[in-house]
Amino acid sequence: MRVTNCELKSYYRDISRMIAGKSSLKRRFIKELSFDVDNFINENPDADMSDILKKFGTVCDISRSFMTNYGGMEYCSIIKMVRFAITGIFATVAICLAVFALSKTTLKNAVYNVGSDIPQYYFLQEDVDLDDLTLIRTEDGRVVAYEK
Amino acid sequence: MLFLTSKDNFKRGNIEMMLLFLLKEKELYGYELSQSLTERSRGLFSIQDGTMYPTLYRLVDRGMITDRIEKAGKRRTRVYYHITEEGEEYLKKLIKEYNSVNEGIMNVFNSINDESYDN
Repeated sequence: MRVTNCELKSYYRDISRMIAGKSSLKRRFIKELSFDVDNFINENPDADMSDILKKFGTVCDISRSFMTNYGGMEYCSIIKMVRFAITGIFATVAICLAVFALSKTTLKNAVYNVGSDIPQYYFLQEDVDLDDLTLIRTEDGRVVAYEK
Repeated sequence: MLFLTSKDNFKRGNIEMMLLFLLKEKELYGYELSQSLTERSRGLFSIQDGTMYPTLYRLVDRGMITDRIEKAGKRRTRVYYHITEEGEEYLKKLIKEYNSVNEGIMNVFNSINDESYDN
């Protein structure tokens, strides 16, 4: 039975779904493949879908070929991304720990500016007791310290 | 006939070698390339067009071949592939390697006198 347009569309759609990679590459590939399939059908008007698969490859064959040629590169870039992400997470955790440790040691001598977008520390002189200060929250959410 | 798909370990290097070899003679578009391979091998090899394009695209990415788009009809375009100087150097290297492997295999075969494997 001759190959139908519907079968061919389904073939191209399945290939497009199975190939991983840039969409421009996929579009180009489907365009070239469909051109070749048309040539083949012109030369072999009685060709059926099994002839097409034999001549051009099954969806699996094509997908595997893309993996062989491009998979390695993508795999490398994924590894690079993962390494970058892990380094980023470790750096963030290290910075957070350092900030936390610093805040622990200085907090007793500081008034934390609670409401501001950017955390700030107001370091007070060691001889000033926090009990001698009046803490007032301003309209914009900042906490301001006044001597009593 | 041997179908050269990517899963055959005959494989990418040899497919590249044959494609580059055909392109050395003249620039060809995809369908012509696969047809030419079948004809030149006297029907012993055939490459599935769908599995040939990823190899061609990779050769383009690596600068071994270039592609040129030409109009074919009102709405259609045809992509011709052309070997570069770098591609020709790479082809020489592939052929050298292939000959060396082939010679090594034949040496092993010839070291054993077993007529049952002769054609």
